[in-house]
Amino acid sequence: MSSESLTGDAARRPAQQRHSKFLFWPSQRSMKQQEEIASWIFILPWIIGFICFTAGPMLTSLYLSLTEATMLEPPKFIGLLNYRNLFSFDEVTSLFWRTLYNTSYYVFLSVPLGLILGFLIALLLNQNIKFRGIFRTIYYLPSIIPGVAVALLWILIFNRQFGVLNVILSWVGINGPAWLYDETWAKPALVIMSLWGSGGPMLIFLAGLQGIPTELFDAAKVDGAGSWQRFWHVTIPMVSPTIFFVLVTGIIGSFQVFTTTYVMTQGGPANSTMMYVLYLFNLAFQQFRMGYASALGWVYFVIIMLLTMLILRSSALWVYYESGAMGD
Amino acid sequence: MTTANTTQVPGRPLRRSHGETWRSPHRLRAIRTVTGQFLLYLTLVIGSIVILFPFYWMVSTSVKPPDEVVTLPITWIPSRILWSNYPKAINALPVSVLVFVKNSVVLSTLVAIGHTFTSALVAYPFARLRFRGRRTLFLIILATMMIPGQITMIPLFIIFSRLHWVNTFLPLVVPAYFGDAYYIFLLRQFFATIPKEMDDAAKIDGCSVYAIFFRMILPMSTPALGITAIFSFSGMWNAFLGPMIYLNQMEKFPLALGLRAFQAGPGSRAIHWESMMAISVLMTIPMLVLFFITQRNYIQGIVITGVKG
Amino acid sequence: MVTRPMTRRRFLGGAALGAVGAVLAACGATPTPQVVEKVVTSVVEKEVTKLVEGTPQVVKETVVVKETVVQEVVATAAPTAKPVELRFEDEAEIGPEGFKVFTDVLIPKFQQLNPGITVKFEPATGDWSQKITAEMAAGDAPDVMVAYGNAARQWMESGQLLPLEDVFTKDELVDFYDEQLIAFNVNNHLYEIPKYVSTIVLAYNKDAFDKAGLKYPDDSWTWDDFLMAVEKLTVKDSSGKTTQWGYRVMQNYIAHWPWQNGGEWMDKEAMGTKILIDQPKSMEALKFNWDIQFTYKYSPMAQDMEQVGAFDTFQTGKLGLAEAHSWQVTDYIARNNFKYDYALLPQKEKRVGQIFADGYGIFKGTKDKNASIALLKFMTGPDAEREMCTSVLGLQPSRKSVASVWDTLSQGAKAGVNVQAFSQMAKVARLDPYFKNNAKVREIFNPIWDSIWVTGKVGLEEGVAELVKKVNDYLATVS
Repeated sequence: MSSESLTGDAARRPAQQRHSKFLFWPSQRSMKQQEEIASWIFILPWIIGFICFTAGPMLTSLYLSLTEATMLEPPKFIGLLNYRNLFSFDEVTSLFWRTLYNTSYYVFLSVPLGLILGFLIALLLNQNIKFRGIFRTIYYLPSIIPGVAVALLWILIFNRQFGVLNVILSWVGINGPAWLYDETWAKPALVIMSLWGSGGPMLIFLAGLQGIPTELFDAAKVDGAGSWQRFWHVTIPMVSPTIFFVLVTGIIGSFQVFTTTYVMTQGGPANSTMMYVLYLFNLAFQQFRMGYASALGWVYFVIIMLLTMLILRSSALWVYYESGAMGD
Repeated sequence: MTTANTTQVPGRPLRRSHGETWRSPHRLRAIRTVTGQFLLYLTLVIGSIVILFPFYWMVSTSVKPPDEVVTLPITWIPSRILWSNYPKAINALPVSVLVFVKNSVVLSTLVAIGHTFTSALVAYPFARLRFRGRRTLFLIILATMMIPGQITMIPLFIIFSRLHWVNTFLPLVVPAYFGDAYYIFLLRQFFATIPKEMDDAAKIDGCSVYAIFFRMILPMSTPALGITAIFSFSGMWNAFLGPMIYLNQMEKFPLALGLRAFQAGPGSRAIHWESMMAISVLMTIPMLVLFFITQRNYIQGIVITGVKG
Repeated sequence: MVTRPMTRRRFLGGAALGAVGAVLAACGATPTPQVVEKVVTSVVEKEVTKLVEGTPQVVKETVVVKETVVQEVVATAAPTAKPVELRFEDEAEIGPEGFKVFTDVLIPKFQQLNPGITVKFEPATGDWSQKITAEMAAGDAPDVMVAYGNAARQWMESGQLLPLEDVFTKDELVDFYDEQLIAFNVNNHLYEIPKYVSTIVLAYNKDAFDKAGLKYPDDSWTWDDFLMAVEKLTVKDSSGKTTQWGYRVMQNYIAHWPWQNGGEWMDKEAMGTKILIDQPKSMEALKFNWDIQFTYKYSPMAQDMEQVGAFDTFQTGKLGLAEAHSWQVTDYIARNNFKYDYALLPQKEKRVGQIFADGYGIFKGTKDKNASIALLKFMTGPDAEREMCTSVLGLQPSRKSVASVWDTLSQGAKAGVNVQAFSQMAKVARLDPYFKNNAKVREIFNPIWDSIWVTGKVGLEEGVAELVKKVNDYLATVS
């Protein structure tokens, strides 16, 4: 594509020069240059927004991570001390490892399970059934109930004696645990709560499934593929960009889990549900150690970024884009 | 992975008309039997009960008399139904809850429009065009989702304060018109599933990059755009933190923030359950209706079929 | 638009501007208050929510009230050149109706007395302390605001609140409870004035007492009487499951038990630098509660009854005795569908309660110092406190002179419950303890405390020993 419409004399110029000169008139520019310019024009809104609203605060927090700051007084520069303290294993100095463990536990359970569950439900709801619209609305409902109502509701559900969950478990002879008040079961309780809200991923998968051209299935049938093979060789690849999206955003989002723990458990019992962002919040707004909190935030950023890049790299192996390999 | 895009069926129209019956390609043979159908419905119904169950509690609590709200064991069926809880909740605050509804509608609509269109704009080059630094820039966009908001909250607040935008809707609405990383990512994924051949065909027909976007990609992406709009709308509808930080007077509060006003303080303290649930129900129902309408019109029916050879 | 990141210079610049602003504002004339005393007789017909056969109902009642009123009328300041707008931020513990007391009664009254000042009301919803911190950092916070807890202490220490020593004379300050003023005294400045007082008394379920054939608690009750009642009030059904508990242990509000036993919680009255709960007398008190919870199981575990916080438990009617805070009075009236009343806390070596500090402060960067002070004085004045007390807000007044109103005219009094208990306990209450760097101390304290009281994984002696060591080690590094 890139060399197709180059003009004759431009083609004779050495390779480096061909890209660097910005030719003014559109007709003079190569297709590639036009694409580049167009790209930047499309992206311009984001860039402006980034410069105005995001870059400044990000850089500020990076600077603050090198200070001791209450935000109400001038910050005091202390270099990398925050970072050194952060990695300490002494829990009085730093709850970094503990909160990282808690959050990872939550993320690596709730994201895959939520993804699978959302996908399965989307498959079911993609069938030709009556009341399809109503079912879809019902399954999406948990995502739109206000968070604070959800939190209050689930506290009742997890009640050890009278909560619905334990009542149902008792029907099959299981003596349910104290869930949110049990160190071992508090995190699983949060995971269960998050699965109830799988309506979001479900919707995205639905749209992804809808977007698969039916001709592909017809052609596959013609080629002699059975239902399972059609599923595995047509559906999954065509839906893989969606899976990729849900996976990455699910991970990024779950690592930021905050509101549920803030409203329901405050990190308890005994720090078993102290999630990273809750810890950060307490440091910033209860203890007024914004410098230390910023350091925690940036370390978190690096961790999540590394994880995301890992998934991104791996995506070349399993994500299929109809428009050709994306090469990222 | 099969390269199934090599199968081309010549002569088919670009889009199936809306009236044609839509058939799911995933019809398993098993499901076509009566037992299969029955099991399918059964699963869905059981799942629905599980999902709806907390919602039922919400609604039943909203009509309970105040002394039945906090009982042990839980009162599942109220002794009497107090629909008066609703007007009571609506008028409990100095500002009527209907004002909150108005604010929520305004905010959510503006934000949804902004997110949908600008994110689509920004997503397009990442899905379709080649330019230097594409991979890096995409990572940077993703990176903006990875910073915990708490550490940038105060500097951002100071920016808005200097602009004198505090106590207005502006800090909540304006950033939505500059794209949002989540929706950019989502739309980019969807755009990328559209066959490249269609671009080529259009280019041969003389379409510019811009025309391809506006006249071809966008119309074909209505499911994804619909989802973006719903997510964005409901995100803002339930958003509490932003409004809490930036809005001062009750007249400006959206529903999510008004709901908090019933809670009398963070964490535990006296909670007016029945009023809170009444407001929650009021908050949820419009979203349900909106969702139902949107999914019917945008998410089902329009299927992209083959490409002309 | 390129933004400049926060730098030290900008902070100093902001602070300098704030200081200059304060100095300029101080150049205005301070209105001199006039003290007027008179006897007021009134016949009042009020609509009151009373318990009629177990259901709250609204009933009209006539009350004859005779009170000696000490009124402090702030002479209106000379009208300023342009109208002043103040931002006033407050919360309503009781819920949404409480806000109306501010917007419909108190603020209009203030504006009436002070023409030229408009007050914009901002409700404290959600995590308001986070919001105010951000506003202070940006230099634009509410003029008068309610402030308490870790955040408020930080605001005081960071000099974000206006010092108020000159606002009230020493004679006037005597009307407030000393302990509350201690909490607001930081670095030898008084930064806040108490808004209301919250204290703890014993609430008891009369129906449960009647069923158990017990006499109601009275002023003579000791810990032994208490324990005996708790035991009798714990009822199990035929399958051995507890259907009614005697008492709910409140391990997060437990400091008065060690005090009653002659022990201590920390080394100072405020900003403690050493935790002392491992001392024998304190441990005895803790063990008393711990036994109720774990040895005898007269108290429900958090898992069994926690809705959202322990405050709801008594309302379920499944508790014989509970500790109640004064701001819960109006809530109980609406929600308890059984007969109940209040009594003084039982005593051991002495009778001691807890008092909590909630107050108003003025933002250092307020644009009109005089107007803000006028608003503050009004909101903490006897009139406003009377309104807060008798209205649905049901706040126990922080002024001793208004305590009689609480006893006779508050909603609790009208409902026929013994709210005098709160006034009596307030007289013998000590400030709820907080340490230096309290938020960090809580970070260390809470998990271990949870392990002792919530999950029961750690024994009392063991847990307290570990806790005391960790906390004191930490406090030693910051003292």
